[in-house]
Amino acid sequence: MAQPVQAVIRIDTDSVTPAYRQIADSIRTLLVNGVLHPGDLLPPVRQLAIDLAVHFNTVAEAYRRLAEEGWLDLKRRRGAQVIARATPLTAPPESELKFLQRLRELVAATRAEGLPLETIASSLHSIAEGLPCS
Amino acid sequence: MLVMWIVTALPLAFLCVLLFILPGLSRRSQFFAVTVPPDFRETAEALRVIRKYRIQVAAHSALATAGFLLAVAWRAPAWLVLAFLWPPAGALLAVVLAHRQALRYAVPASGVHEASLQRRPASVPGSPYLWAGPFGILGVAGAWIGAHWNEIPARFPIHWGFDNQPNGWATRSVAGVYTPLAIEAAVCLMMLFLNWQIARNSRGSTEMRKLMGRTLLVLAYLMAALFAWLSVALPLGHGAPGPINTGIIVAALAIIIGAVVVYGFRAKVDPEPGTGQATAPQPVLGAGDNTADRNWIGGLFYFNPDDSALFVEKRIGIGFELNFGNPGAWVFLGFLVLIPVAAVVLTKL
Repeated sequence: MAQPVQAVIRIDTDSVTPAYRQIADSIRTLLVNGVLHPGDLLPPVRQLAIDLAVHFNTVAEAYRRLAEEGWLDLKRRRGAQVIARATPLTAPPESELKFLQRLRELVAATRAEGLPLETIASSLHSIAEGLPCS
Repeated sequence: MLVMWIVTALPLAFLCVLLFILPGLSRRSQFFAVTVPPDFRETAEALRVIRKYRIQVAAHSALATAGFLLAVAWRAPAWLVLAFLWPPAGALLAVVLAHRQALRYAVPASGVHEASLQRRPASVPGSPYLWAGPFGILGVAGAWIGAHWNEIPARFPIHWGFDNQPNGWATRSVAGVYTPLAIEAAVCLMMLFLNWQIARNSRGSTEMRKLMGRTLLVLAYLMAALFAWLSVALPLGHGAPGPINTGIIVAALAIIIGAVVVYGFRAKVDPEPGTGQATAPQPVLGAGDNTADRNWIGGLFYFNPDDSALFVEKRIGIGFELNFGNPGAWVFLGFLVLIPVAAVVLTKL
């Protein structure tokens, strides 16, 4: 029996990042951090779309992306269920480059907004410490 | 006769009081459907806007009272319709004007939206057994009339004027006898459907959903009992409902509406904590209900084609508002219009 999911996601409709990506990113963060477990049932597309005040297709696209990445099993009428996802043994060679590129862009954008470098560094450090080792 | 006029005057007075206190029936971060800082309500600007609104409502209420007194003096019940429609129409105008004034003090709306990942229960609020009750009452009334069919006169009165003389009649036919029950069954179905849609396709606090579900259920019982009683009493010649019975009905409705106002006020002021913005207001984030001020036309009507919700919690008043940007809202409105039209057509048969 799946446990009720006690988690909240947040999106910013003023952001340049598309809403479906923000939703997918938020849920992926919860998955990676172990807040969501295999067997957990996510809310149906309709419910999440209504609560976030976005179109159904936006949430459906986010779920589809996560399903393609192997995180979710999409069930008709039952919504989305978290499934056990095997971490790839070897990441593609370009993954690290892409990651560093995105991280640099994020840090630059955050610094441009005025956040001190020390805060960014300590935040990155605490995030890294919180990640599961396996 | 005098008792009947007094009984009729009470709902009008009740309506005027409700319209007067309307600005208080909104969340602290919303003022006449405009997003404001939570402490804005105590400022001199806010008090000035509220004062202007209340002066207008008082003026419209006074006009309606004058119309009512004229209706009494001239023995012209048709004027009553105007007396009852005037205060809400005037209050609508006052809300639109207050909304425009309040927009000057709006805080920049945040685009941040939050939602819980907890699944909502799929069932309709209120047990299906409880919702079977009103239909059962109507069914029993129908069976009772069927069992006493031979006692029904060929023609019987169904409407009385203020002089207590009958002015409307029905005949002993299936349409003439069973139409009120059929109409009420359709109304109960509509209420059940509304309850289901609010549970399924609305965005608002859980408290407000529960309140609306319970209110619809109580109203369905009250109306089913009323229609069942009338459907049995009128064909079997028990005569006019009379001022006392009308007074009881008016009092019951007043108690229900009063309870809705009290509980609705509590749901607005003290929503349940810790369940995300979908169920609790977050003044720091701006709108607090995941809607933007620009989507509230005149502060009264919500229009957002990009929002999947069919119903959103009202920003002013208690209950839910249709999202007119959702095509489903127009289908729903069509059904709402269809029921009274069908009722009129059926009664003409």
